[in-house]
Amino acid sequence: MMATTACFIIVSRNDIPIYEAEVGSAAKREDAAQLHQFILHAALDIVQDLAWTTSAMFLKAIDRFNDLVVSVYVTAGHTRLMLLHDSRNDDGIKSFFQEVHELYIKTLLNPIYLPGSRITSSHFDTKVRALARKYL
Amino acid sequence: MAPAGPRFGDAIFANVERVNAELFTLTYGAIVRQLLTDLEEVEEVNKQLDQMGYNIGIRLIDEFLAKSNVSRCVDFKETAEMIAKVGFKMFLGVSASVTNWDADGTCCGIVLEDNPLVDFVELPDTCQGLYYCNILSGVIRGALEMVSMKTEITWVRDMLRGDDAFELQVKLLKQVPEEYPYKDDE
Amino acid sequence: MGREVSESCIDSLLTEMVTTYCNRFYANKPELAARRIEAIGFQVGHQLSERYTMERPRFSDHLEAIKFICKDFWSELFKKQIDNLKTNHRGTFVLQDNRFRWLTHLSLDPTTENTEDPNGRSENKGAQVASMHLYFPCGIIRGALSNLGIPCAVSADISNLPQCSFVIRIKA
Repeated sequence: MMATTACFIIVSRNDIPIYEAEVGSAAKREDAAQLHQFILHAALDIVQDLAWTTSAMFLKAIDRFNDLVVSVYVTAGHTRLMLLHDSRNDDGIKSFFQEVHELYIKTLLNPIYLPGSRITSSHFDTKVRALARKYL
Repeated sequence: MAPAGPRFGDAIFANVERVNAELFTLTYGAIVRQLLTDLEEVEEVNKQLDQMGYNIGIRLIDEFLAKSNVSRCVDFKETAEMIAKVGFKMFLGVSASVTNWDADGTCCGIVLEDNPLVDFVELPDTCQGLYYCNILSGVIRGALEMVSMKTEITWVRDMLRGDDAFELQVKLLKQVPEEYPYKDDE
Repeated sequence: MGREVSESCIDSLLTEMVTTYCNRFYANKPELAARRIEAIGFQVGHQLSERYTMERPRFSDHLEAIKFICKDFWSELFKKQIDNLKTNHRGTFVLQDNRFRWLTHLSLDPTTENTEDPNGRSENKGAQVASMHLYFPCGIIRGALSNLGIPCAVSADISNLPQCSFVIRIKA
């Protein structure tokens, strides 16, 4: 039941993308990946407005593009985990976000990692992809 | 000579004031990162961490001797066991083991499998050559010097470099038995 | 209960960090030493605030975030809460710890007592050392609040030892 299309990004508080991954089962296409990221970035404004109206971390289906939906998870530090997806598995998405958040915190706790900088750890990347396979 | 069993170290650790290890781990990490920024050369960072450890070690030895009720370790072999079983436990809450003794008993390895200093740490390629835990070798060197043992300490295994454990090789260079660790004020 | 280490570990490390920066690296430039020590604290505060807010909803205003620092955050660090919180309701908060742990240990540290100084400057020297140590917790608080989206300046007042007050001025 894995999502055929799913694009996941992490955006720092300063609106800088620090991690991107195509995590759907569909074959990777360069132009599709670009479009996905474009949609996600366009949704940032909506997140910005919504984040101050609720204290919930998981904001589901805040934006749409054709059959694709944008769901977001905003941490207390206003780091945004954003997922563009075609599946409708809210529980799975929530679990995915929660576990990626945990991974993100581990990365952040690495003293050598400069907060707000790009996450280049291959260990992180592998784990995120495994979580995507498990939950999306 | 007090018994140097692992439970002895546990008992002391249970009785000392303890703090959240994350605070300690992250503070150490932030210091390492600041040193990397300020000193630029990884070699220089290794040197400074060792120096910091040495300065800590020469003060920490008093607390170690007082809390462990050890008057003095005469024998290097016994001393190494004390550091591994009691010293590490008393301060870091983990115990280490001693292995790889050479034939004349002046060189051994102290092996640490669980090391709170490196929780969360992953070194990027730019930090090749960094001995992240170098403060530990400094602490041991400093502490041993205060009990009249001059040592040379080197890392032979490092989990941050992909090894299965941390191992410090401790080599006794010189022992000056007539010197006492305390200034005799009494 | 999470993993713990002996309190001597953190005390020795902080003392040595301050000595390294104040006496070895920047002996004649205390303001540079202060900035480095604050930066080290900032990183720690930044990391820990993300960590300790993991399971909770986002803060909706400044006061809520400050209360979090006084209660949960302080308890994780010092096993006690801030004793008193005051605010002028215009962006300044004063967090008072009646017995700030890192200072009580400091005053016992023989390296800070400069008994050989004949001009009574030793007390002054002690105060200098104490203020250098305080850049670290000030950095922690600033780092924690900054991670929660609240840019601010933090200073410490130790005119009533062992009481310590941290003054937070939120930048508009």
